[in-house]
Amino acid sequence: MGQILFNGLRNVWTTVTDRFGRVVARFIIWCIGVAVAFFPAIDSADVGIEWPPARMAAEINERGYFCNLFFVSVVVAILAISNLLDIIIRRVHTLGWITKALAITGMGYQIIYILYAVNHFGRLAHSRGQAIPADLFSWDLNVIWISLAVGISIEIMIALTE
Amino acid sequence: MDLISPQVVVWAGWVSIVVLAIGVFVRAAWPMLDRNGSRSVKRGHHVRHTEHAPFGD
Repeated sequence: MGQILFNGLRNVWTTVTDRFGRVVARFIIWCIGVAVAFFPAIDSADVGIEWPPARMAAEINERGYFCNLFFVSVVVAILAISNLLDIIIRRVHTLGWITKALAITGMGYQIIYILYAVNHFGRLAHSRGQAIPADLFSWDLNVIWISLAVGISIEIMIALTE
Repeated sequence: MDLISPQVVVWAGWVSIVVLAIGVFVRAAWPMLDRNGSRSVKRGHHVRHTEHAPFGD
């Protein structure tokens, strides 16, 4: 048992070091995509970069441009769906069952997110110019955070599959 | 009215992150578990082995 665990941990270390370059490359491309998606929110609300980001989000909401901030999570979802469809469709015959299960899990979340976001984004865009209620703002901020986290997890999972 | 509540999205997100983290770790630690059951692969119509077969070894 100890030997199996030791070999497993050694395999994890070798896998991560072997594919470190791919993980970093995907991470950088993902960060650039997300940063570009942030521009409309920062530019339209005319706010500076602030820390913590939740304070900046609150300020963007007060100025009535929360839909532009929510748009960031839409871009993250599109990136994730594009990459997942790529491995699911193009490489379906060569993937192991764990990789397939992970891809389907990621896609499942993105479908749930899209079902929420399509209607909700339209509603937010309709109420542009006025702040959304505090409780909805709080949940939507959580949705944005969790979408970013799932998005980067999917990118790392794909980078470690290549 | 939204089709799904934001709470559902947040919970689904947490579940996905946990599943992805555990799955990536297991696949990296014990790559032999991540077998490919595709019949077309066995017949040799596509690639004969999983793309990530070595996975650390």
